[in-house]
Amino acid sequence: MNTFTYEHYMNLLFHLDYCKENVIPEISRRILLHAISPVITVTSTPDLDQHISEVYNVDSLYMMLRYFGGCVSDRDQVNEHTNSTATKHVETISDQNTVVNTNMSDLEKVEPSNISNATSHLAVSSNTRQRRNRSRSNSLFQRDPTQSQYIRFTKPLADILNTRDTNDMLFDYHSLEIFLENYLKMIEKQTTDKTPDRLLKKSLYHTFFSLAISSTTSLSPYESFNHPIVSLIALDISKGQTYEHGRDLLINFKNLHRTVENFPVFINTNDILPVFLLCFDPTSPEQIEQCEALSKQFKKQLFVETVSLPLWIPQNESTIQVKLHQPVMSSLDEMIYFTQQEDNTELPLKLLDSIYDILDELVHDLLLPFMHRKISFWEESVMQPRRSLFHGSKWMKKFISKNTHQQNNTLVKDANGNMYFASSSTEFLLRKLADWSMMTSSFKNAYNTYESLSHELENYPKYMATCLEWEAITLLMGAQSIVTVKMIKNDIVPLLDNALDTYDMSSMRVQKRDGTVQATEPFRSYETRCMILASELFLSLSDTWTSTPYAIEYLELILSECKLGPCSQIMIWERLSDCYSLRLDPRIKHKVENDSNRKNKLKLQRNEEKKNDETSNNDNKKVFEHEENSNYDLVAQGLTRKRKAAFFRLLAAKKWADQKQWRQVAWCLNDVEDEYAHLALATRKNLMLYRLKEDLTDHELKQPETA
Amino acid sequence: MPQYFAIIGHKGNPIYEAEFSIQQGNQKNLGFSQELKEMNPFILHASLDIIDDLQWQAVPSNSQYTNDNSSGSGSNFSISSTGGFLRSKNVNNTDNCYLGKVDHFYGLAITAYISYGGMKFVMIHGTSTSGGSNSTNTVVIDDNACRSFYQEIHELYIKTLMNPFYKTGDPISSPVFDSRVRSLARKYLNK
Repeated sequence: MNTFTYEHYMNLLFHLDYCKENVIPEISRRILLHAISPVITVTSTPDLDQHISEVYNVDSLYMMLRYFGGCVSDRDQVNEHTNSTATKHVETISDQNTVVNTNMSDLEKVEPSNISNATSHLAVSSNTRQRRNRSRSNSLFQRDPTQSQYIRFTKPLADILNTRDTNDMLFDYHSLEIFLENYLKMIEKQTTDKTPDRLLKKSLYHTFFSLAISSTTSLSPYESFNHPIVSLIALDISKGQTYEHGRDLLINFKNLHRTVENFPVFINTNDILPVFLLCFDPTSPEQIEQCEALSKQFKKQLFVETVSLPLWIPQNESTIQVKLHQPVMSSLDEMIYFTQQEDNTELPLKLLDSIYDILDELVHDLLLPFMHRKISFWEESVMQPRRSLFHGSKWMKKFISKNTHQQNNTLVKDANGNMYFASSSTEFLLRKLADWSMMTSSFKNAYNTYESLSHELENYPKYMATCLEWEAITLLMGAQSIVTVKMIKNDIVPLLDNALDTYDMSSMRVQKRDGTVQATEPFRSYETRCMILASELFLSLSDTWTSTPYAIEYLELILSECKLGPCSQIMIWERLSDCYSLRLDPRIKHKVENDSNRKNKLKLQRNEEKKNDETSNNDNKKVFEHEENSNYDLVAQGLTRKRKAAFFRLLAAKKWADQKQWRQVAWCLNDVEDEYAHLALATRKNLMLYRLKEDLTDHELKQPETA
Repeated sequence: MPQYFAIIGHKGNPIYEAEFSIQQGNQKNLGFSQELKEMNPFILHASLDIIDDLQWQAVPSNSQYTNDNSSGSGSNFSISSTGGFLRSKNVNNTDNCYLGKVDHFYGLAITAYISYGGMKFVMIHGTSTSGGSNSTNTVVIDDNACRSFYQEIHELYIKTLMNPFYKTGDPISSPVFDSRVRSLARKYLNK
């Protein structure tokens, strides 16, 4: 079997072979990096979309490229093929090489003048391949998660703006609940009660988590993580689209703020890098030549870079088709849509490789340099002047802050009567600087910027709250290895509490103004995000003994304060149980792990023994009992919270039963079985555990009848 | 307010259980809801983790476990000042089998007492509304009364141990023991 990757984990339901693998505790950091990764919008012409749907049976270029979001260097869609036919892979690679070679020799034969083009094209691809090899490693097992470059794709900006809700919600509890229900149905279909559930449950929680913290369609006015950074403008060379088409599309894009009604004041198309994507047929020398010429022209006349994608690869019966999996992160609506219907998109393997090659090029040669350029520009033009004025002295700050208080007119009113900072305002530029630093994993820079920005935003609680929240998160992300109890107590928790209070305050203000409870929902969504994110990051710290109580506190707060749907709430209850099982004193960590391994072995042994000899003699039994009750537990006494974990799992089972999610009930009961096995509590008929077991067997008995 | 009391043996099995409900003026029994009745033994079992933790701590550092009841001073100590079950050498107070409020679960408070033989006396204190698991009103515990209750139960338990027909760790089924426990509960807890 192939190595277990980030994508396998996040889509574990579709890779059930990996159910017994382990996942690193830092996984939530990776998910966060993915959730705030740069967003790329994909704009294409109707002709190109139609061509794509004719050839590949995919609705549009965006619908095709969305499968390639995620960690670019992982090339997870290609893995889909290598996984299924690991042995065949070697052949296909050699096959591919020969195709490239014959292509080249064809080119040489046909037109000698094309040699330079062809070689340059190939040289580029070999370059990217080299770089890819260097950076290509499984993002799940990288020591430093920040090395992996994640991206997300989204619809064209105009579409997002047209479908945008005006209430600034980050996510909507109801959609999240619908998604969960659909996903649970899929789980019910594809698994049995005996499927190893430990990792699958974690994966389910993290899918839920990733949807609550990220979105590719909601443009928040208070933070810029979901704002697009690159706008891909695609042209179909094979359909004869030329420079003029490209130019018009670019002009349209640049003029969006004039043409789109209610264009949000916090979006600036100048901060989005336009890149042309030329789709051509690699077997046609004319088209290759045309691409070269066009990319030169675009660069010279419009100052826009170009990437070329050999999209129209000739296909025949022997072409290897790969069935694509859903991307790890997508907008909630799309996720719901795809959980409701089977998706059978297939693309040729060669095309997958080419797409990953151009994405590599796009990310490393265009996107990242653009972000770094902008970051240093904002640093110099917005951040530096402030720093030199303040010089760190407090009394100077007094004067400055007085001045800024007078500038209340920096807020701009939009068509719906909401007041926002404009994209050109210093505050929003600083926020962008901080967010982009965060995206490029320079946490120290991000922290400093959030910190200095939070002093400016005291009069704007909505902005202040998310700023404080991310200030705390940068600390948890950046100082992961050196986070101490003192740091948690003195820096991180006060920041988070302050953020939560400020969210509360803004929601109360809104409620006062509008007089309805619905108006507070947007802030509740931010608040929920803040707590769920903080708790996950606390759990990813190495010393779980000190960090889990904080995670538990925030999760309990979510349960009591946020109006999550029933399934979402049970997810949190189960996570509480996970938190308790993670609460292990570092001194006995290895002992407990050894112990659980030993117990598992004993269990297996006993099962085998049972199979071999139903009437095994009592001596053996005694040996097992003695082994189980040996002094291992004594060492760990008081230093674990296994019983708490079991209780919360049992509670979750009860709540799942109320929701009729019987697969989940069965798994929860399996999980608690060991803990309660030696207790009389398990068999008492008037208690919860026995009743749940009975309900489950009742349901299982009914099942075949209904089927 | 209703209480659920249990004596927990060395292997985590309850050897004695009782539920005390209040008799109010109108003679209406206010016990735990059916849902909580099914759950109470598990809630107690879960809090054993924390009792174990406190048992082995010389000085409990976690303020979460200290009792907030500030009525009076002197004998009414809180755990943080006296050390846990294992006494700190600086404190001469021998009366520290009583651990106070050790845990809570959605409005229910859990108090505990450890005997010198390692038996755990644990009790869930419900709210007077005896609401479901989502009730957030926390119970106020009268530490003095609670400690006296536990101490007398301890004495009763030792007397049971002295019974030659009783084997340590077996369930206590004596009706006399039960009625005495209930009268102690009436005396100290549901005044």
